[in-house]
This record gives sequence, C-alpha cells and structure tokens, in this order.
Amino acid sequence: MDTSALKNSTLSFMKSFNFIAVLYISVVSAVTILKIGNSGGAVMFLKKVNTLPPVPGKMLLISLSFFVLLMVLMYVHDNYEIKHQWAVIVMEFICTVSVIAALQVNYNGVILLFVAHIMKYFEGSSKKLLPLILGSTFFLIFDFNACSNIFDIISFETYTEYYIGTVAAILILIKNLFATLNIILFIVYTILHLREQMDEKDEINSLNERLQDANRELEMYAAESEKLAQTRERNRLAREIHDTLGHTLTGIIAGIDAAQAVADVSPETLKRYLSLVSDVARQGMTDVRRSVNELRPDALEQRDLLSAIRKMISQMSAASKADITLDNSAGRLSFGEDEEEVIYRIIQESITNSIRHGKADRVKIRITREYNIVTITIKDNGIGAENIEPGFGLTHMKERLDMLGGKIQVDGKGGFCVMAEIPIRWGKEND
Amino acid sequence: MKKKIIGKKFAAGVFLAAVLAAAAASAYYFQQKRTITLGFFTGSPWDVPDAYTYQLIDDAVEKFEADHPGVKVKYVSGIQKDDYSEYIASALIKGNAPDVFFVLPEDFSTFAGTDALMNLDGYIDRDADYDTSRYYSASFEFGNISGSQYGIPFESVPSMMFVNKTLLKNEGIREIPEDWTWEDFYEICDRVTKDTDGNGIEDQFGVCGYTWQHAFMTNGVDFFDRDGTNCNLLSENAIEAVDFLKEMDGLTKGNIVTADDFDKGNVAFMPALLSDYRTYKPYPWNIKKYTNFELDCITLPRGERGDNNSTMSTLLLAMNSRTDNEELAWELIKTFCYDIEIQSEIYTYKGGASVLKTVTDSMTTMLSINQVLSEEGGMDINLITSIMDHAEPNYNFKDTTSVEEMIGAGINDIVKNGTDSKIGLQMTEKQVRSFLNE
Repeated sequence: MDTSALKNSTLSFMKSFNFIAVLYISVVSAVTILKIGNSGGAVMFLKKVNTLPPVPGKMLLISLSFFVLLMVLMYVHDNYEIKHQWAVIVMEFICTVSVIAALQVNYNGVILLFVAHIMKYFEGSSKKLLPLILGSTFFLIFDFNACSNIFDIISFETYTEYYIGTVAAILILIKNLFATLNIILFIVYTILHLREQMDEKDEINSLNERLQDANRELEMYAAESEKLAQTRERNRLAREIHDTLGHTLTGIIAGIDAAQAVADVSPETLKRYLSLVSDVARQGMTDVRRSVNELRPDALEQRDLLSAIRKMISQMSAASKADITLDNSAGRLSFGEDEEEVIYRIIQESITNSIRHGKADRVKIRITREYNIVTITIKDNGIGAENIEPGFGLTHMKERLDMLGGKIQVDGKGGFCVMAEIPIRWGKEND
Repeated sequence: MKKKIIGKKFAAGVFLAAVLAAAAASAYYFQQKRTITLGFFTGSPWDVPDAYTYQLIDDAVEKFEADHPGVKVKYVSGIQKDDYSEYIASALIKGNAPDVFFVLPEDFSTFAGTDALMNLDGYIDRDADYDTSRYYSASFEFGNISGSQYGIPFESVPSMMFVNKTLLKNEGIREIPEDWTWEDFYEICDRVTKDTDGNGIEDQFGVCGYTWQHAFMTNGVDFFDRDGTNCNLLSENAIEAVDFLKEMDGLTKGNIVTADDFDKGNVAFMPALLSDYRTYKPYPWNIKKYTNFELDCITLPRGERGDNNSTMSTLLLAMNSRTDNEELAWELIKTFCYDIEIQSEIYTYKGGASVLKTVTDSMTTMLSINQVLSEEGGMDINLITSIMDHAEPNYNFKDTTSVEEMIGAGINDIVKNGTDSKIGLQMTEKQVRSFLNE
C-alpha cells in the first residue's frame, strides 16, 4: 500500500474513531445524568456543580447531529467542486466547535480530525504549517481545564463520580484511551502527510532529471544535425562547382584542345573555337556569379523576406534571361527566422532547378496564405520530368520542410511544379 | 481526483428538508406556548400541618387562566415537601423541569448557583406595573444573589420568641417590653430556672432552642458578605454574642432542654417561626400542643450592639432558565406573588405571612388573623408588621448550609468547652475560610 492510500485510510479510520468517541462521551454522560436524576442524587449533584448538566437527549442529538453534518461537509468538500473553499472550512470549523461544545469540552479530539482533514487543502510552503499551528492552538484552547475557568461546564469525571470506584475508573480510562489514541492517529496521519509530500518532491526531482537528460540528448541531436547540414552544404557546393565550373572548364578545355588541333590548319576555325570557348567561359562566369549570389548567407539578414525574394528573382532572371514572376497574396511576409529561411531557400532552389535542369524560360511563383498555412507554388514551362527522382535539391527541400512540419508536392508533367505548405507559428507576424 | 459539481437536486433536497424541519419545530413550539407548567408541593414549607395547599394553587391557576384565555397551566400534584427538592433537582437535570416552580429556602442557592433559575432583572425592569418596594425587603432580598433577582417571594416566616405566659405569670413576671435586651432575657431565665418539685433536679428552665444564629442576628453580627466569599467572625459583636451564649448555657447547669420541655410547659421561652404560632395557637392544632399554658409571642431580645431583629425565611417562586414560555411564566409568577387576592389567601390557607406589605398591613388581613386567633384574644398585628419590617433575610449563597453547620459546631465547642471566645472564633473562621477557598 503506498503512502497516499495509507494516509487516506488513516483519515477514514480517524473519522470512525472520533464518531465512536463522541458517541461514547455523549451516551455515558446522558445515561449518567438520567441515572442521577432517577436515583435521588440530583440535589447532591447540583450542589457539586456550577451549572445544570446538558439535557441528556439534547446533548446526544446535538453532538451527533453536528458530527454527522461535519462528515457530510467533509465529504462534499472532498468530492465536489467548491467555489468558496474558505466558507466550507469555516462551516466545518463551526461544526467542530459545536460538537466540542455539546460535549462540554470533555472530548476535543474532533479538532484534530478537522485539522487532519484540512491539511491537504493547504499546499505551498508558506501555508503548509497553518493548519498545524491553528490546530495545536485550538487543541490547547479547547482543553477542559482551560475552558472550565471561563465557562461553567461539568467534567466527565464529575458524572462518573456517580458510579462506584471500579466502574468510574474504567469509564475514565476508556475516555482517556480515546483521547490518547486519537492523538496517536493524528500524529501518524501527519507523518504520512509529510511523507507523501516528500514522495511528491522526489517524483518531481526524478522527472526533472529525465527532462534534463532529454534536453542533453536533444542538444546532441542538434549538434549532429548541424554537422549534417554542414556536410550537405559542402555537397551542394561540390555540386555547384561540378555543375558550373566543371561544365565550363570541361567546355573550355575541350574548346582549347580543339583550337590547338586546328591552330595550324585553319585560323578561321580556330577563331570560331576560341569564340565558343570565350562564350563558354562567359557563361561559366555568369553561373559562378549566380552561385555566389545564392550562397550569400546574409541575403535575408539585410532585408525582409519579400524584398529578399524579389532581389533574388531579379538577379536570377538577369543571369538566366528567364522570365520570373512573383504573385504574393499572403500580404506582409514576416515569420520566424527559420520559417523565412526555408521559404527563401525553397524558392531559390526551385528556380535554380527550373533554369538549370528544366531549361525553362518562364517561372511563376505564387505565395498564398490560409490561416496559418503558407502555400508556395513554383511552376515553370521547362521540360519537366517524367519520373521524379528525388535528387539532391528535392531531398534537401523536404528535409527543411519536415523540420517545420510542412509538406512538399512535386509534379513533373507539363513543366515542373513544386508546391510547399508551411505551417506558420502564431504570433510572430503581428510583431 | 476529478470533482463533481454540486447538483441542483441535491441542494433543493437539503433546502426542502430544512424548511420542513423548521415548520415542524415552529408548530411544536407554538403548541408548547399554549401550556405552562407549574411545580409545587403539598404541605407546608415550614413543617407545620397544612391541609389547604390546593385551594390556593387552584385559585391562582383559575385566576391566571381567566386572565390568559387559551393558556393552560399544567402541574403534577401530590409531591410531598420532603421529596420536593429532589423532584425539582431531578427534573432540572433531566431537562423536564416545570416553567415555573416554588423553591424551598434551602434549595434556592443550589438552584440559582447552577444557572437553573432565570435572571428576572429584565422582567422586573420592563414591567411598569411591578413595584418591588411593595414587598418586605427581607422577603424580596432573599431572592437576590449578587445583585440579580432569581426568585420572587411568595410566603415568608420571620423568627420570633414563643413565651409561656402562664409560667411567667406564676413567676410574677408581667410585661416584657417590645425592645427587651439580652440582660432582661438572662435575668428572667435565671429567675425561672429552678427545681419546682424539690427533688434536687432543675425541672423548670428559661429557654430552649436559642442558637448562635439568634444571638448573632440580634447583636448585629454581619459575618458574611452576601455572596459568601468572605467570612468575618472576629468582630466585637460576634465575640459578645458567643460570650452571651456561654452565659446562657451556664444557666441550664448541664441539663439538656428540648422543645418537648417547652410543649409540656416547663420552659419560659423558645425561638420559633410565625408559622408555628399561627398553626398551633388556634383550633384545631392547639389541642395537640401547648394545651396546659397560654402561649404568646414576642420579638427576640436584643444585644448591646444589635436590635430586636429576626431572620426571615422565604418561599420563592422561580422561573426555569430553560423555559420557552418566559412571558407567561413571568405572568404566572406575578399571579402568585403580586396579586393581592391570592396573597391574601396565604392568611386563609397557609401558615406564613404574605410578602406584600399592603396585604399584611391591610384591615382585611387583620380581621382574618384576628378571627383565627380570636379564641385566645387575638394577636397583635403590629407585632408581625414590625417584626417583618425589621427582619433580615437568611444568607443565600451556595454553601450557606455547610458553612452555618461549621460555625455552629465551632461555637458549640467554644460554649461547651469554655474556650476563650476570641481564640475559638479565630479557629472557626480559619476553618470556614479554607472551606470557602476550596
């Protein structure tokens, strides 16, 4: 059985125990009062006391009624949602005091039951001790000797004087046993309560540790993925170099070789070849410029996304003579840094693909937005692709989108079409 | 833990139950309001024969019910005076005591001390028709504890001195002045104490039943404050009183003189109550006692520092502090204790005196007393009024009986052993104080 269950059963036991104690005190007092009244000792009894004893039936009824009411309040308090918790606690307290008053402070254990009950409603380090402090204060205040100096009350012992020695001693012993056992129960409950809170703390600590572990792992993943991104970027550079400088240099070498072969034979042909080589070299130069432009990491840092895209488009169309148009219906584009980066790169990559692989001379870009989904469509009139092989660029794009929870669709029929959906985080665009 | 919201049905149920309970309680309460219960005993509180208890009770109840239509007075009849204290105490403990009940003088402090009796100050102040100065102050004050009124006087009896007129006449003593002193008292007693039949043993005595209380009362000894917290037995008055008791004791020469000797006509004086006089003086009870001499009554003799005072014992009517019928209870108390007609009936049916000055003073009362006493030539009504006017109430704090027993035993020791009065009283006072401090 765990601490919490043990604690709850201790409280339940305490409730039953207190009920029996209240029943015992009130029944013994009531029966004794009746016996005194019927046995001819009433005048003697009244000479001994300073006040009338409570009416037997009434005392029984009042003490038990308030006890039952207290139990009902505790049940409602524990099982129903309550708006004004303080009101319930005050009502419970009134019931507690009423029970004690009905018993003429001959049994004050109910106050401990009350404290045990409200303890769980006082959480937080500042309030945790409040019920204990209040409880011990009231426990001391509702002491028979303390109260008998202020109020006229009759002690249980005075009632038991009616009986002969042994019976009186046993009756008092039982009463004291109730009081003592109740205190022990209360201490046990308090210890369990504190232990439960310590257990909770332990659990929070272990959860915290696990969270830190996860955090560390995540950091490692991030480092790894950064490395991966570096590798990818290098691969891309390698491909760029291969695609641009490689082709160009190959062309130049081939052209120069050819020029060498015909140099002595036909100066005319040589001139033509040299002119071709020159063209290839110029083309290469353009490609290198474009590539360098693409690789500039600060394109986005200097301006907002839309003007960065516009600048990119104008540079690319200048370099490739292709007609690139942008249709933005998403309004002002202002998202998270990572989101802007992804959008920028997707558009850049797609245009490069269209020009380089698709040989297109017209590219249409459309940016739309519906709620928090930004959709980017890049469509060209190039040769397209019957079978879309997940090449370098597409895989890269897909990976970037995955990180933001986005999707990508490509269609190679009748030109090439890329459609990317990016979910945008809320809040950023209004900054 | 998921908590449920308190259901409307549940709340409505609780509300309905509360309303029904309140309705039932108020119906019961208003039913209760129409009846008022009265506690009384048959017989005389002064231990004299009394055959007419019910006449007075029935007249008062009838009068009250006539004044309060729809209200019924309920009572249990047949409780003897000797069982009455226990009957009321038992009912108080069990919570079923009557709304209004008579309180014997010896029970008053006990009942008032346990908050069983309602504090009547509020009723007295509010009731414009109620004038406390119409009572003999000793009667009214007996119902007062620490400044609050817990009982209203119904019937009082002052203590007085019975005189064997025949014996005195035979001894040549004619008149005793109303303000006679201890000296006169001692002289007469000394004169009459003698051996009449010449057998060497005294058989005629001066007084029997003269106690320290009589001596204290008539020498102005105020040995307690009224709430019984302090005891002072060392005043000159008290010492003188004890010295006087020693002197008086010396007169009997070791003989024990009892009330029986007085009844037989062998004793000149005996302190007694008005009720004894009113009962045994006229027919039919006069044939039972005091048959061979003429009985008279006078004031008690006074000491040097005191007066011809007497103590007054009073039967009170009190309200149960737990009554629901406060207003009716107060009205019922007034019917018994403040109504001239009912109070007048005390002189017809009871042995004591009415606590209302007007009743005791009035001509009709005089007539009825004189009628009753006419066979023996009548009793001086002025004597009763004068005694009652000068009477002092008995102490009524809670331990009165125990403390008085204690003082009595102490003084008895002093008198019998011839201890120095001051030293003896010092010891007694110490005892009493330690008892009070317990």
